[in-house]
Amino acid sequence: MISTLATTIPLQLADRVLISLTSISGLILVASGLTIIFGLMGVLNLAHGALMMVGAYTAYAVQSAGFSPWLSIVIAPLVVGLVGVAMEVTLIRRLYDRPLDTLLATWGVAIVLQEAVTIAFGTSQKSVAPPMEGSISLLGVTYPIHWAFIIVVAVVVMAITIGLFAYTDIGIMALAVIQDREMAAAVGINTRVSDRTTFAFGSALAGLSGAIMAPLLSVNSTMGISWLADSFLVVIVGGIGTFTGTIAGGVLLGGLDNLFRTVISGYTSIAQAAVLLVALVIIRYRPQGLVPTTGGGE
Amino acid sequence: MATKDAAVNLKTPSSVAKIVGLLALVALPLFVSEYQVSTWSTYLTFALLALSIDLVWGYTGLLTLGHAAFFGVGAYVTAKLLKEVPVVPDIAVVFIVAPVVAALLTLALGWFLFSADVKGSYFAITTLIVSIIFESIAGEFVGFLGGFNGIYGIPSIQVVGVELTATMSYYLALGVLVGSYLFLNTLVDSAFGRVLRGIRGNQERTEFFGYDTQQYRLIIFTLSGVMAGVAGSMYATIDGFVSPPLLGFVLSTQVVIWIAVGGRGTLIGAVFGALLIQYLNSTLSDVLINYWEMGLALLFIAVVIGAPRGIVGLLSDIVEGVQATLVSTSRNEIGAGGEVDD
Amino acid sequence: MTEIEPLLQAEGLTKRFGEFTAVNDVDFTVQPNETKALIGPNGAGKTTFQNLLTGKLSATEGTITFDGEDVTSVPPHERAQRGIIRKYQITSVYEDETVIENMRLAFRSRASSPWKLLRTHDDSDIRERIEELLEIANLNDKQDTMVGTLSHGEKQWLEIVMAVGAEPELLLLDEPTSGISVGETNDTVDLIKEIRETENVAIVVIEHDMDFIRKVSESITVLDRGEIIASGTIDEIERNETVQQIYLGETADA
Repeated sequence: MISTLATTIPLQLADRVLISLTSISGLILVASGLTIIFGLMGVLNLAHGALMMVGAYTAYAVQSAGFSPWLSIVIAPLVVGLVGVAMEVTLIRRLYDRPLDTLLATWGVAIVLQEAVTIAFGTSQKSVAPPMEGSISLLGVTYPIHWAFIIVVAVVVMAITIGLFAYTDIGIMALAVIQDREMAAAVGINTRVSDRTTFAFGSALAGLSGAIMAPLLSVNSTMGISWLADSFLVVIVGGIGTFTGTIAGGVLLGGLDNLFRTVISGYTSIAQAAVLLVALVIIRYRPQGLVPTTGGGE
Repeated sequence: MATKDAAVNLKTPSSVAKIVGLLALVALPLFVSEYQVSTWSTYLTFALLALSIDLVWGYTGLLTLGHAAFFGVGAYVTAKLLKEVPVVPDIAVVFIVAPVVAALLTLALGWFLFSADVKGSYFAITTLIVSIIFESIAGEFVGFLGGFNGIYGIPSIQVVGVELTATMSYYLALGVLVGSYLFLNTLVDSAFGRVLRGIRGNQERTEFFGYDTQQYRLIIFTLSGVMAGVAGSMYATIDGFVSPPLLGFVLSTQVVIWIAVGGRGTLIGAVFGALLIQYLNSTLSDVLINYWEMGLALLFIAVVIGAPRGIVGLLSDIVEGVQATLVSTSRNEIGAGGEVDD
Repeated sequence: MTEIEPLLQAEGLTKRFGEFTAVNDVDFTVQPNETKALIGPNGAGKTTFQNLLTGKLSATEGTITFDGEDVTSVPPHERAQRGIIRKYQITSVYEDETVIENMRLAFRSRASSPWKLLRTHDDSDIRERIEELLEIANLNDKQDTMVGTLSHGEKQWLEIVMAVGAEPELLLLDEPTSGISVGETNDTVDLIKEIRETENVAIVVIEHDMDFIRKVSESITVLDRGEIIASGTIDEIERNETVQQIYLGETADA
């Protein structure tokens, strides 16, 4: 999680609130792609963290080629979206009815991506510049603009995604395919294209989140791993298959993370373990999540 | 099916292969340095961990991604006791205390998850989380557990006053591995093992025939905890050093990869995969560096998609194919010869 | 003669899912060794009712008594241990195992603790009985065949004799003809008749198809929208106007 920024700041309440908002937004942003791929499509994609990492490296590559950070934010989702298409075509397509095999195969993909990035970029940490430097003043606290930018992006991404699946033909068709493949095929929807597009979109969001979050993180090939676990927990705890669930999951887990860090200060890992423990208990006692899909019933 | 073969039956090619493999492992200390004997001893303990995971994953279909937690707990308990509580006999630490502690954890976690019927991907993810939690905790307690630096200088164990040499530790680990393998082989071959496969094939159907599948899953998960605990404990005494990654999910997932490549649900595939990949790891990763990890991951993906029974499954298919051809040719010859009794 | 105690007695059995009542105040009795049919159009609540009997779902209201004991809140595996065994509508067998392994698994299910099964390596004690049952299901020459490769009808028969092998006192057969051909349906009729004659078991056949029911059972209960609307012999049921309406209505829909 965004532990690095959480610990370097004086602990005023207003600070805390803004830090929490930023880390919750980051969490939701990273989990948004997984909400689509795992939550909606049911694909257990353990390469999600690696896709985010590839997004961060793409941003780095674009910037080190001399282009603007803004361009890096545009390119990263495109590149990672293509990686998603490649994954769907070669692997995921064959495994739609084998969830545990999907989990294993995508873990294999995660390792492949990790090693490929190490081969291409070496093992040293990279740093990525934010598109906007400088600070703004919010609630009497000086606040890096990029943090505010993350909150804005998270809100915009969630709004666009929700709108896409609720109001556009492509989104509604994609949902129809996910809910009843045979029926969708019967009414003439090309389910293969629809699956591929949905998976690519989820991957692109992972790439975008990597590029946006990169300036706050140390960019290395294993950076995706902790975000992978966090994203899955956000989606599961929030309630699989709903965007509001992801928001709720992000607010709860991100909020608890910040709270525990404050309360148990000095023991970052214990705070993190405590959040995981809460998530475990929620999964055990409320497997449908905080915001269950409507009409679930039995 | 492979599971129906007796563990050792000299007539089948697979048994011949197993015996040749065992003899090679028995003879190994004669041909390599003491340092390499120790390295191979740790391979054997990880193979035992692989066996314990295959029992759960391969036979009941519950993919555990957190088993390193129980391996690591066995290792840490052993490290603390051997270094700081000399009154407890070493042998009791390895074969009683460490497995009991690990088993209590698996029993508690198993009860917690199975009583809510957590299975499939949720089981995989919750066990993964357990592993992460354990690793975080071990990393944080600097004073008590050594933090990220772990615990150094764990003595090798003494049995009736004699400190085990590297070679003796090797044979102890080999003996425990072979013994566990033979025991599990009879277990999965029994009517009990059939119920496990029933749970893997169709848990609800098995439940509605009258089997208490929760109890079966709990027994198996706890037994695998015992094995992971012993494996971790022996690892600590052999390597002399324990650190948080021993509890972590990276190790857990690595072992799952070994099992998948070797052949899940076959027991021997877990041992074979674990030994082969660790050996290749040590020889190839220096030369090929990241390309080796990448190649292994690609092989893993290919196995998951196209060869769910792994290398062992492929080999036995080939052998069976050859045998079938031989049998049919010899039948034809006999047929041509005419008057031959059965 | 004294009155026989019923094997199964459901009283006021009700299941609600939120606002929707799937099974409403159903009374249902099965005598030992009796064969009964439960029919009703799709969505009548047949499967929900069965899930209540086997314990897959817990009842919102009402009680289930089996062998004189209240089993309303007994978990599924224990109900099976007591003798309520079901065959699923969608055949539910172990596809990756052989026919004989499927049978053995069903046979060991009652009155065996895990610890006893751990020591069981020899199946010769059940071999004869397995072959006897496979014989009436016409599967004896397929003992070593992988179940996944059997025809749909063969899987149905296998699951039926597996259920018989579990030594039930009450056998619930959920749509034993679903998805199989006419020829195979006749074989299913023969199989059920054979079981009725040779086995000491009460059978409840849950079906959709009136013609099939006529061949296997004399006593029929009709369920519609979660409620029992008629009970009686074949002739009585066929003359019943409400039943005719439901079935005619459904035929018109289909």
